[in-house]
Amino acid sequence: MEEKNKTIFIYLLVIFFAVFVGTSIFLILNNKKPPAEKETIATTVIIPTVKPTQGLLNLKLFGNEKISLSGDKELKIDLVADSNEKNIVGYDLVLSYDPLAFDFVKATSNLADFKIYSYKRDGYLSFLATKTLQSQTSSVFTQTKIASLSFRPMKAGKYSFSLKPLIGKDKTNLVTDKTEVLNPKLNELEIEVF
Amino acid sequence: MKKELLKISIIFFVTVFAVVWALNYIYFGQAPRSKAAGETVSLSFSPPTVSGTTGLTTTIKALPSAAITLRGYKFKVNFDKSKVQITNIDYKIGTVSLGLGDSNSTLSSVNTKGVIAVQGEIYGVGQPLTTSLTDVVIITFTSTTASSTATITEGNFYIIGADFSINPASASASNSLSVNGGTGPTNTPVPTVTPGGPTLTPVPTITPGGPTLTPTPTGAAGNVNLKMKLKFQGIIKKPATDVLNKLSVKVKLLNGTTGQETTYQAAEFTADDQGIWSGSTSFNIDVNAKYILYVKGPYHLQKKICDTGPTETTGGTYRCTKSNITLKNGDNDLNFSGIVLLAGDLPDQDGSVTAYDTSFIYNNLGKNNDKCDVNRDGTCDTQDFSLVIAALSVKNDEL
Repeated sequence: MEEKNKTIFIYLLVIFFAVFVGTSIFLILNNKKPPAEKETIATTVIIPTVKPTQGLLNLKLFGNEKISLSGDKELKIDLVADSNEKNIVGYDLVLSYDPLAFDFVKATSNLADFKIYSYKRDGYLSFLATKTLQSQTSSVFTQTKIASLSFRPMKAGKYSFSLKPLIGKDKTNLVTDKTEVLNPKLNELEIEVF
Repeated sequence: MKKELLKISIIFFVTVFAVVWALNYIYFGQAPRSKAAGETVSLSFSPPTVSGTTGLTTTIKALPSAAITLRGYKFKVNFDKSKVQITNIDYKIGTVSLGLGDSNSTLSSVNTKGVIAVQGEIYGVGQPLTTSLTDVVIITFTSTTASSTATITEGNFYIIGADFSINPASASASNSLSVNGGTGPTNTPVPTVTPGGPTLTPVPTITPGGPTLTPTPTGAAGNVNLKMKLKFQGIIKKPATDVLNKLSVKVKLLNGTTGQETTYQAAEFTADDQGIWSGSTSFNIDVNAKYILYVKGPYHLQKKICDTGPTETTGGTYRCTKSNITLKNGDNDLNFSGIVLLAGDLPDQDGSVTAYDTSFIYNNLGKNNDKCDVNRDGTCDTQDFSLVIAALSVKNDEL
């Protein structure tokens, strides 16, 4: 009995030693660059663009997080805005997405007195919405669904839709009735196509 | 005992192998390693030697050691600030990293320090670069009569790897730029002075309450004088007053052979009874090349023109790609009134029709605000709004 315990003890000791040596070898083999350097690189590449204006000012994407490829199902993404109690007369939007995974179908303004124009760019969409001259009402956004965007999924996988402050000459902002340009806080939406 | 030792050794090596294999599988799986490691990018000035004093241009080109997908890049261009002054920085890959890279908005700081921090980024899936020379940035500058040298330092290109990680690739300069100030452009014929020949570049006249213009460099009188006729969207007759009958237009030329651009020259235009606008400006250029001409009105999107007598069936639809404009020393009559320059990019211009532009008119309807009087009738009204909405079919400057 004692002899058996001794053997088990030796085996455990060997396994422990092997795990220790194995881990050491693994760490030595894969620790070619210090992690700190990688963090520095990431910090350098992720570049701040436009500083958001202070206050409650948001442009958010909302939509189903999952959609099936089967049938003629379209992905609908809603744009919800807060305008910090300001009266908005126009806005620009830049939405980055994967054009190989989704086909942009249309953009619809949910506000009757706004007309929206859409532009397909290389890897992103640009929108411009302007208030119609006939409008007599004030347009203060408080969690207001301002527009809906429709896409047709083409490929399975996980994809990101992201509002960007600026790409090329296209930008995202809200313009008030005093022609003040506001830079809202932006978000992104993860969509899974299965 | 010997048998026991052999048994332990076998167990030891099997365990070590199993642990190493398992850890490798868990942490790296089947994902391919990034191919980015070890790539390098060679940067060069093209042309490496530039002669003259104004409107000098060089392109910094990148040559990767293998095909890569680029996410961003940064490097520095050092120049002698006492001899060279930068007038334009044009990013050709991606866009400038705001707040980090130098652009035309930071020219005063660039010229004070003598260093251009070139830093650009590509959004989305990145930009593929093959193993051929690719334009990264075009720099336009002026030089004193003395000679100087510009160099590239501290370069990094950020590559998207096969496993979607971002890795740096070091970039190094393969040449430097020699600036022979004041020796005059090579192969530029001596300007022929014709009666009433080349005129000096007009300085834009800013009328009280008139359009605000981005300051543009106005060079010395060139060997080529362009006498242009233009038609602007929405203006069908001569504006009622002299103040309204003046538009300051920016013009630049692109040499189709070398790909070099001049700086913008400002020209003042006035209209005749039919609403055709006339104005002139001059450039110091090589007359043996063919050119593309870019015109940007004070309320308008930039128009790219490749032909001497362009026409279109519907206003604003003329498009071109190949440089076909030949110019001669002295006066060149260029009638571009067969096409329309679309309105929409109001002062202060940013190269695009945006919500700011439409909102500016919306908020100034009925007011006597010259900044949004696109059709030059003296009032900012619904007609101006409609003209800008019509220009949304294009939206951005033609490049």
